[in-house]
Amino acid sequence: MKNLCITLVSVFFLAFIGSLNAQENPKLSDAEVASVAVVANQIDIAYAEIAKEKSKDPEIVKFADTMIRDHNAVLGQASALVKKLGVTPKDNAVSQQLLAGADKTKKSLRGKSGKAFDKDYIDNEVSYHKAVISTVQTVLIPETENQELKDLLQGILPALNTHLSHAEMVQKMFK
Amino acid sequence: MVRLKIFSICCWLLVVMLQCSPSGKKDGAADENEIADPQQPQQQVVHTIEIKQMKFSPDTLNVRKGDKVIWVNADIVEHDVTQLSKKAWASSKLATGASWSMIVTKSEDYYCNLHVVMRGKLIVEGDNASNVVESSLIPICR
Repeated sequence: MKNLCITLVSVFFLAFIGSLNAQENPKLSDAEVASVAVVANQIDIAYAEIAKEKSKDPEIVKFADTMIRDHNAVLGQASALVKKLGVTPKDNAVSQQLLAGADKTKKSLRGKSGKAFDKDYIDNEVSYHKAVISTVQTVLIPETENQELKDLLQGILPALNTHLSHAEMVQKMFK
Repeated sequence: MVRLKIFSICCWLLVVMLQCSPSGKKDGAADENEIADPQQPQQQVVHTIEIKQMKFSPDTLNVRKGDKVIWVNADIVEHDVTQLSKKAWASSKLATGASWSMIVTKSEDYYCNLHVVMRGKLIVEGDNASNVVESSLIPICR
């Protein structure tokens, strides 16, 4: 049931992103784009911290360590850039949707243990990275006006894609 | 008279010896038939592999035994460089801008132990590549 819940949250988020994309002129200011980027990184760090608390599987823990390290590095770059640009990240519908989905997922993950937790965590990482990659490509980059912010978003795509491949590799061990 | 004959014979022998000498080069000119000593060590070449956008670039590098390879992390996240099949050698974690080097003695596959899907290959000229293992055959864990 909880697996279904995580899957539904991911599907709902993907559908939400799809609906945003389908709108003719979905408008996000650069401050709102920055907020989504920051929130998306913070959420995956939060998932990884739960994994480090609950999992005993070395590959899950190693993956979680990589997520914490890499997403903190991206956050550092994003923080430095918004400071340089004088932009204050602004809350918006996309970041709120991300946070709402994350709350449900974290609650679901905390209710699991052992192999069931490991499977749900890595399944969610696959779904989450797919959703974030889609959001960055189809919403955030097209909406961004500032070239440096656009370059930063394009620059994190290879890391997100590598995380997805890594997660899919680990996921195969839990099938 | 005898002394004169002895002197003449000595002079003749000296001329013959000079003509037969193997190092008898004229005016320091190079010997066209000189063969390079195969034992002479080849000069070490330094190669650089850039780590950028989650890739080793170039991901396959041809080197000679004894060449030096430097990995430079030009990416936004930390990486490392680890021998693939047995983790026989590995760098420490390389922060952005950091580098690590190694003298290559044999052909080997390597990867980033932090991002296990990142792979690279060193090929040493003349090596039968017995150390290179098909990457897909290497389990990532356990």
